[in-house]
Order: sequence, then C-alpha cells, then structure tokens
Amino acid sequence: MNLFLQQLVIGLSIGSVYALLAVGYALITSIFNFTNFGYGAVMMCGAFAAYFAVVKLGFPTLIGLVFAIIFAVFISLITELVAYRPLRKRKSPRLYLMITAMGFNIFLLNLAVVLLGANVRYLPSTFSTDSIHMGSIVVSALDVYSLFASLISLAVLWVFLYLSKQGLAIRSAAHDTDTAGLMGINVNKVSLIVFAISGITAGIAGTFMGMKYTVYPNLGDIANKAFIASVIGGMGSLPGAVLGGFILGVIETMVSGYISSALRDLFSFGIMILVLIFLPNGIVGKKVQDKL
Amino acid sequence: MLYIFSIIVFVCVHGIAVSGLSLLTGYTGIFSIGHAGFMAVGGYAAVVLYKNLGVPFLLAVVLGGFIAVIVSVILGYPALRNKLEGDAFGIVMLGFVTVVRVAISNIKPVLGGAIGITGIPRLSSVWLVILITAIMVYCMRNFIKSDYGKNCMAVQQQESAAEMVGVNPLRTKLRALMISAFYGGVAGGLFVFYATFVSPMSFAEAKSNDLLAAVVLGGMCSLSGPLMAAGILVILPEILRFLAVWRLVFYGLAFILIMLFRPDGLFGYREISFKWVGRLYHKIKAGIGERQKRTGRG
Amino acid sequence: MKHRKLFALLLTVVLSVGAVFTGCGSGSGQSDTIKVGFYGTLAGSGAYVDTAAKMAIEDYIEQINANGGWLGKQVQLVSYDVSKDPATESVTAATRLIEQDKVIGIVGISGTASTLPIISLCNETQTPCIASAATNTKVTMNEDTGEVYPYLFRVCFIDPYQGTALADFAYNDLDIQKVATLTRVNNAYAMGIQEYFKEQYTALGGKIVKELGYQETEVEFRAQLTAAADAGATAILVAASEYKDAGLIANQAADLGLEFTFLLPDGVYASELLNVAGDTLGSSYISVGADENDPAFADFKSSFDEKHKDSGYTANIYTYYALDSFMLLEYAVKTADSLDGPAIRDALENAKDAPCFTEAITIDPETHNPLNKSITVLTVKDGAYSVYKTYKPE
Repeated sequence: MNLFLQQLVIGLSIGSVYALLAVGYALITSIFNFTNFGYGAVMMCGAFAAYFAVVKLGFPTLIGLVFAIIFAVFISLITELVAYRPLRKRKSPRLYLMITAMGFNIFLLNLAVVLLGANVRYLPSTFSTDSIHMGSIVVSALDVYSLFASLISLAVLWVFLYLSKQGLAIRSAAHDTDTAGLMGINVNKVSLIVFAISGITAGIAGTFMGMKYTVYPNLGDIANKAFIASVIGGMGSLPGAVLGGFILGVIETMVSGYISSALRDLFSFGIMILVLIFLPNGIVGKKVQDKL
Repeated sequence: MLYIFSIIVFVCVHGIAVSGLSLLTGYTGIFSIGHAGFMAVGGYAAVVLYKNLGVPFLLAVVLGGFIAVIVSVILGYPALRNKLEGDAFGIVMLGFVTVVRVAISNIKPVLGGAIGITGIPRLSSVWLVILITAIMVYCMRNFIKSDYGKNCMAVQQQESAAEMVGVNPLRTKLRALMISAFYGGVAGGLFVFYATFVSPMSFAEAKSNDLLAAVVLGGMCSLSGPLMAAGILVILPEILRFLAVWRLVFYGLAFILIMLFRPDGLFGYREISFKWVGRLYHKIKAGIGERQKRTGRG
Repeated sequence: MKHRKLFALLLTVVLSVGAVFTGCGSGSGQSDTIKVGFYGTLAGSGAYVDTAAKMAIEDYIEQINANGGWLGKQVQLVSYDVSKDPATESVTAATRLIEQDKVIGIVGISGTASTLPIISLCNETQTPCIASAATNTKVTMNEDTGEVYPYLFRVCFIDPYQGTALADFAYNDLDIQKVATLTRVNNAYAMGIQEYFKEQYTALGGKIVKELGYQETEVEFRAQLTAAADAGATAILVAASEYKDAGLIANQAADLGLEFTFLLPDGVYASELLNVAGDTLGSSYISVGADENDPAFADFKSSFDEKHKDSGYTANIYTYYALDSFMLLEYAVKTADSLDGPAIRDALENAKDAPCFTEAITIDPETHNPLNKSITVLTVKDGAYSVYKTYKPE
C-alpha cells in the first residue's frame, strides 16, 4: 500500500508539470487549431534564462523565474510574429504551421547547442529543497513548489480567461476565430496574448524543469509528453489538458512501477492512440463549444 | 562513385516512401507524422524473412511491404472508421512510430533489441534500387491518374459530396493508406539491405518528419514535386556539411524560410471552392512551365 | 509528366553532384597532406563527447605537424557531423571520407550505433577504422560466423569485459547480494553492460531483484527507484550512456530518501557528473579505462581546458580514448612506413605496446580488441573522484 501511495504521489507530481505544459499546447491548439511543436524549445529557452540569472548573475531563484518568463514570452512572441502570423495571413493549411513549428524546434535546439554547448548544467535553487516525509511517503520539496506554481498559474489563467474582457475575447476566438474577427475582436491582439500566456507557462515550467532535471538544449523533449497529455485530455481543451497531464503522470509511474519501465512509452503512446481512436475528442472535450 | 551511389540510393529509398506518403497526405488528405514506422516494419520484416527464414532477397522486400500493409490495416481501419482526421490521425501515426520503436527495442531474440541486426548483406545495388524506384513511381503515377486516384482527390476535397456520387470514403482512404504503407515497407526493406545494418534508431521520428516535409515542400497533389523534395532533403544536409556545427541550425531555418517564402501557388488554401478544384486539375494536367517556375523558387 | 520527371531527375543529379563538390574545395589535390577521417555527434544533445575529442585530435595534429608530420607529410583531420540521423549519416559521412577526402583511416568513433553501419564499407574499401569507444562485441566480430572484421579495430574495452568486471567487483569486493539494474533500453552500450553484468552476477550467486529500464529522453526515474527499493535492492547498476542520466538518478534517489550503492559503467564517467550530482553520489563505484585525473594526464587536461575555455568543452575520458585511437593509427602508419590501407591494417593487427595516450596498447589479432586493458574503479569522495582500485589483468 505504501508503495502504491508513494508511486501515486510521484505520478501526481510528474503530472503537475505535464499539466502546466499541456495547457500551453491546448491554448494554442484551441485558437489556431495547430500543434505548436516549437513549444518545447521555448521552454528550453526559459530554462536557460533562469540558469543565466541564477548562476551567472547570482540572483535568487524567484528572480530567475522572472527572467525565464520574460525570455520565454519574448521567444514565444517572436515565433508568432515572424513565423506563424504571416502563414495564417496567407491562410496556409495548418500542416504548414506544424512544419514551421517543427523547423523552429530544430532551429532553436541546435542554436542553443552551438552557442551554449550541449553540456548539462545544474540549476541550483535558493530555497530549501529538503524532502518532506509523511510517514513512509517522501515528497520532494521541488515537487511541492512546482505543484503549487502549476496550480496557481492555472488558477490565474482561469480567472483571466473567465473574468476579464481579454479572456472573453480569447474564448470567443477559440470558439470561432473568423467570426470573432468579424465581431470586432482584434484577432491579432488575441494571438499575441495567447502566445504570451503560452510563453509564461513555458517559462514557469522551464525553470522548474531546469531545477529538477538540469538545464540542457534537449530539455524541450519533455514537452512531447505534455503534448500526449493534451491529446488524451482532448485537444484544445484546458480542463482536458490539466486532467490529461495528471492522468498521464500517474499512468506512466504506475506502468514503470508495476508493469515494465522499459515498455512505458509503449503504454503512454498506446493509450494516446486508443483514446484518439475511441474518444476522438479526448476525455473531456465533447464539443467544439466546450473548448475553454 | 560510392559516395554518389550511396546518396542516390538514399534519395531513391526516400523517393519511394515519399511517393507513398504523397498519395496518402497529398492526394487523399490524411496527415501522417509517423510514416517511418512503416519503413521500420517493412525493413525488419524483410531482414527477418531473409535471414531467419531463407526467403530470397527481392521476395523478402516485397513481403516486408505486405506486412507493413497488414499493420496499416490493423491501425488504420478503426481509426478511419471513426473518421479520425487532420492532426488527430497524424498524431496516431506519431504514436505508432514510437510504439514500433519501443517494441522493437524490447524484442531481443530475433530483432536484436536496441543493438539491432548487423551483418546484413548489401543486396540493394544502385541500379536495382533505381529500377525499382522507377517502376514504383510509374505505378503510383498510373494509380493517381486512374479513377481510384481521382476518388482519393474527391474524398480529400469534399468527402460528403464524393460519398453522394458513390465514392466510398472509408474504402478510398483505407486503400490509400494500404498502398502508402506498402511503399513505405518496400522502401524500408531496400534501405536496410543497403545500409547492411538496422536498429530501432534507423527509423527515428526525424525520418518521418523528413518524409512529411518532402510532401509539403514538394507540393500537395503532385508526385514529381515531393520526389524532388525528397532528393533535396537527403542532399541538403550533405551540401550543408561545410557549415559544420551550424548545419542543423540552418536545416531548421530552411524549414521556416521555405514555409514563409514559398509562394502558395502549389496549394492555395481556399477551402471547398470549385475554383480551387479547377486550378488543381489544371495544375496536374498542365505545366512544365509552372513546375519549373515553382521549383526555381522553392 | 515525362518532361517534369526528366527535370526532376536532372535537378537531383545536379544537386548530388553539387553535394559532392561543395565540401571538396579545401585541400583536394594536395597529395602532400595525409588525411585522417573522423565523424561523430558534433551537434545536438550528445555533442559534448565527440566535440572535445575532435578538438583534442586537432591539437595533437598541430603538434605532429610542427614536428614534421608523418612520413614527412603534413597531417589533417577531416571531420563530419552525423547527429541528425546517425544510422544513415554514418554511411554517407564515412563514404565521403573514404572516397572524396581519401582518408587513410577513420578514428575516434565513440558509439556502437554509428560504427556498425560502416563495417562492410571499411572492409570493402580497405580502410582501417579504429573506434575509440564503441564497446559492443559486434563492432569487430561477425557474431554469426565468429570471424573478425579485417579493417575494424578498437582501443577501448568491450561490454562483456566491463560488465563482468563490475559484477565481480560488486559481488566479491563490495559483498552486495541484491542488485537492481536500471538500463537505457534503446541503447546498445547500456543493454550490453546490463546483459553481461547479469550473466556474471547471477553466476557468482548474486541476485538481480529487479530489471528496470528507461527510454532515451527520460528524466524522471523515481518510479523505477521506488520499485527497486521495494524489491529489496541495496545497489543499482545504472547502465546508462550519458552522465546526465546517472546524475539525475542519484539526485532523485536522494530526494526519495533512498540509499543505494550505485554501480556505474564508464559511459557516464565525466567530471560534469559531479556538477549534476555531487553529494548525492555518496557510495558510488564507477569502472573506467583510465582515471581522468591521473597525474599523468594533468598537463594535457589543464592545457586543453585552458585552450578551449571559451567553447565550454573540457577534456573527458572520451577525449583520451579518441587520442588513443589516433595515436594507434599514428603508430601503425609509422610501423608500416606506408599509407596503404592493407599495410596499415597489418601493422594495426600486430600492434604491440603501441605508445598511446592512456597506456601502451597491444591489439589481439584474434579479436582486434586491445589486450590487457586495465580497469580502474573510482569512487566519489568529497565531490571528487578518487581511485578505489585498479585491476591490471595479465
């Protein structure tokens, strides 16, 4: 039983990061209907910014987090302005957007390798990282922090989307981008806000990923898992992304712990395929209207 | 000549796989981000048939193709029956290629697990590969020109309208998937018998991405365009070698720039418009001039 | 349609010819330079291994050229990156090295996966290839026939050698009874280590309580560690090929409050491992071919690190192995007094006490592996490696 609880705790903590990242995917998918494969690279940029602030400039972790967010937002906006917007303007098929995103991922990843080197960097945290013991169950302090950071940012995002005017604009754009544009909503502004938000989630996730798993150019690979999570939850659905993140985290941990760790990816991708085939809209996403 | 030969072989192998994917993604409109999975299935199947069961080389490659077809039906039938489309089907394929890779990595006895299979004889000679490529591309061209090919395009453009005039969308899509899986499988077999070595990493996601990129860069609803793009994508990294460490940076940059500055004349995105259909037919029937102009820019 | 295809074919031919000629501008036609080939992961996440190796060989070549070169000719290293798709690119890179650049041999390949595709190529073109850290037995031997590949050599020890030694060490020296293994499952090297460790360890009477694995991009190991602890393992064999994996495993075990003895193969040996996991590597043992910080290498290491300070790369064990492979080729060229492939091959096969970087290397003609490679077991103490024991097989 203890083993089960311990694995559950680990699964939830992994899931919390997946959830945060999956939201970044879901936001963009919901509005622009394409999968932003460049997202992982944006997260990696955020992690490097945090590393630069904390290790090179000697700032505390919180300032590092701010650096990460600012830089990730910056990169995220650049990708939108330079690559995605012109394509959308031309009404290119969304496959083109996906391929551009893939190109961005390759570009940023290798640029980081060339400019910064492929070495793994240790990102220290200035707050306590002692593990918390609850009976025989151990919870890592970083997990608690990242769980809180995930939950807080998700809550803030919810408030923003549902209680602010901009949020309403985003939700209507998600519902039907073209009609929203006709109704006088500045879709370009909405897209900037959305990419900024996805940059913020990437920055937060990047910092915590960096502290947990060190900082290196391929850090963005983790975002692929978040992508699976967003698919399982329902592509383009925010609650689905959160739920999918936690579900995937727990499933992965349980498969590793009880079935076979070597076959874990087989399970996560296999489940993704089954969900897509039998629940094409994911676990949560029922109709297009329910996206946000 | 070895160096040029090896590049020609890789271009041809990619060409076969790309012409299959072109039918699936370009003509029938089904995205596939994991087409290298079929190459892996075909390649491994061909090697096992040849090495363990003593099947002659060419027959093994062809049978490898058919095994890829069987896999494609197992995967594709439920997915297509549920009308999975767009990103969703592409993602299923992404999952498929990962599942194939992880599964092969864990099968030690015959497939060699992560280490792969070594000591495969080099039976795909350059001329043989060129010949097979020519035959397969010719068949694909005929297929696309046939009524079956037109059905594919009809399904891609307006599924319900196509259904109304008596085209069975499920059967059409499944047929396209099976044919493209066969092409992928044969390409995988030829590749393995040239590389003399196969491991799960031989068919990583990067390969699938290259194949898809070739179809998109070359132009949807075109066969020669993607074939040329397949060649370019094999050759481009070789040309870029002088850039040394910056090579992959420019490779990524090239993706973005081509997407941004490639004129959208190939596949203008006017959804469900008969003007677009007209242009499409015009494009397929006509155009050396247009082709040259396009490639000159791309 | 016909014309289009013709055009396509034409363009392809033009491009491929272009590809052939682009890289050849420099140095072609100068027969007074000897070219040596090198390829590896020079971009992407694994670049830290091969980039430093390439730099070290180039530095060494500078020295050689300052002293008159080989056989009175200047030496030049031609290097290509294969990081995009090693299985395919190794073949094209090696073909290009052999055919276009006319290298006398290929040295310093650090991975099994990027050596296996070029075996038949090297044999057909009679080009000697000396792998620096490709440890799988299949690199030099055809397992089906038991024959040695005539043109394939290596300077590192092989997986069975190291896996067996680690098992002996764990069972006999450390007296560990229950071990769990955590293997990078799609990596040939890691799988090899795990396989031979298991074989020897169970033969000795030890028990493998849990066999765990992980995929290449994995960063989260706590589920596996918890399962290992639950199965009663006191030690974990971490069959990993990158130091990042081992570092994260140690950190996460500490996070969970689990105390394991970690048994590590040489694939994770790098000073950077200590940056990632300094104090959490408490009782770890790592088997290596040479101690990176051996005073014998101190001069080289400090001058290398100083010279390449800006690049962010430091000399590591692979750098030494790569130099070993290059110096073995140097020895063979000088012994054979020829640049001819078969002559160099014969010299390599009969190499005896060839003066290499880490130690004198003798090649076993039966297997093309180095004979009597010593194994050093290091342990981590106070955030630094220290030598625990050195085996010198006779």
